[in-house]
Amino acid sequence: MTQTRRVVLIALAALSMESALRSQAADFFEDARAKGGQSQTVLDRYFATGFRDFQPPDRQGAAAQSVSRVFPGRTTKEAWTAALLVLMQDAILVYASIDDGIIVCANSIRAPAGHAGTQPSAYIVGGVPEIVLVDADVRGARVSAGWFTEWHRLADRSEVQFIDIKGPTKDLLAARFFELLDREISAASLARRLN
Amino acid sequence: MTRTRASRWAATWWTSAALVLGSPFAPSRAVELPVADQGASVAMHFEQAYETVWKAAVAVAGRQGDAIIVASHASGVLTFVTPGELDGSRIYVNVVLVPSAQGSGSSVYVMPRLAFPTVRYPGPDGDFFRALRQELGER
Repeated sequence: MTQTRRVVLIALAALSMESALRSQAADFFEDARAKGGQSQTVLDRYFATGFRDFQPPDRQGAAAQSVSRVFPGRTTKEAWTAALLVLMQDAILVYASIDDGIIVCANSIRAPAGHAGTQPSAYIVGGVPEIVLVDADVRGARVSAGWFTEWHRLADRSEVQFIDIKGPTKDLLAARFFELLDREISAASLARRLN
Repeated sequence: MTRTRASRWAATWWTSAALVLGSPFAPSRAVELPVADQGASVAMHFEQAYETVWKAAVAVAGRQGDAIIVASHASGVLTFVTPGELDGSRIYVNVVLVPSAQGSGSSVYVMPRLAFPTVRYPGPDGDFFRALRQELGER
């Protein structure tokens, strides 16, 4: 089984529970260590530098790679706030621009060697997207969810790709995020009506 | 204790502590974090204007953190990093400010997270709110 497939399994496990995710990740940890995956990925380097060098992605390019859903009758402000509150619970917010409608967060982190009893060079993949776009649609607010392929490539530009979420996995993870978002928007709307 | 139970326990503890420690006349009050998935309630409502709360939050982040990753006033996002208890570990503290849609004030949501594993870290949110209330001149 390739590393990518293993990571897909890990990502899917995030849909159910964290313990399952860790369990399924164990094999991957061993593989990564055996293959000497000690080199830094792009994401590792961002963490090492506090994301100082991070440049926001091109919006059009990011939108083309993402999965979208329209929330009818909702404003972009409602969707924006809801997206932040959902993402902050599952990831680390590393960039936000309400003017451009872009939120970037990191939720898949490579473990330092031997940290907290874990295997080195291991990835934990969260279920929420790494980039979220919020904009207006004629029916309401459109939210797009995507993941960065580039972040999970070794920073020395070799072809080693640790994580690549795409196809049905991307749809499944995005659907889970949209479900949380829908719940959040509805709850906030209800709270406003009751206050 | 599972993560969900731990989160609920932390949420209950925090809400109770906020209700006990906060005077009913105090401008701030605990609010529920609407998303039910994590069961965490790490939010407070402040009656002060968004601008005032934002400046106070940035000041607290500057003192508590050793680096600020995001500070976007317009977007209402503030993320800072603080050293963790284990050697080399880092805690990333997500802070989101939301101006009240009705009436005055702002809600502040705080979610500290460990970089690895990417789980909620239950400590510094209380520290952050305590410092924020002090910064805003509350007791």
